[in-house]
Amino acid sequence: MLLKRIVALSGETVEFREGELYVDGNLIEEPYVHHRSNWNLPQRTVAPGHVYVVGDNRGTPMALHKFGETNMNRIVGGVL
Amino acid sequence: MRNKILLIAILFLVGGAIFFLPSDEKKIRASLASLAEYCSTDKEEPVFDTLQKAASAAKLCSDPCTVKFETFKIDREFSQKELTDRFLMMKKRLPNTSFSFHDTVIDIVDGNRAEVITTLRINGKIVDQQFTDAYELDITVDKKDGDWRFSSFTVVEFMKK
Repeated sequence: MLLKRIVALSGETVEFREGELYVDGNLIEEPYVHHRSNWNLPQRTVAPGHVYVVGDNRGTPMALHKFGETNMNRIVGGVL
Repeated sequence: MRNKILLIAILFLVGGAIFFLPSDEKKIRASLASLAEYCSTDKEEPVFDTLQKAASAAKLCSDPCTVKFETFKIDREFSQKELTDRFLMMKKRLPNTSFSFHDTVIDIVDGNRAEVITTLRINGKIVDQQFTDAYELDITVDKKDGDWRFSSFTVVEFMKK
């Protein structure tokens, strides 16, 4: 079981520019991210029935960090 | 009266033996715990211990054992010798790293095969930087000659960047 933050819902676009997250082209302020690497990921649209998840620990290179689009049926619960 | 006491004592003994005998699920959980322990490497682990742990980790697996990890394009059988070498290489590359299994669900399919879904958590330090990694694993465990051995490991990849 992995703990990740949902940053975008189906139909929204997601993009990383120099480590900054953009959803639908808007910069998202993420005060919970303390260490940020210079991730660059071209814009993509989240597929129907899916969400886009990313962990808060972004200090590692993008290739080593597991994040991305995942089917909603993988979600087992939220953090209280 | 004496016979009754004797009967109750026997029932207690049999019941206790059944209760305390490790079930298949307990044996598999114990093997997972051993695998995690053997894969973990202390900061100043003596070379002999590293060699011994790598061999012990491989011995928990069947010969051959299938490993599937799509990201690294791995999908093949590994002999016990190859597994020992891989475990050794991993331990040398990841000193001061601990492995642990969480959220483990074990489904005994029949008396001789079990399917395990678990989360592997890796905590360590590389060049003074702390890291944590987690993988969802599907593991097949087969019982042979009374011993449960890991016969396949599949890293479940469910996130697409």
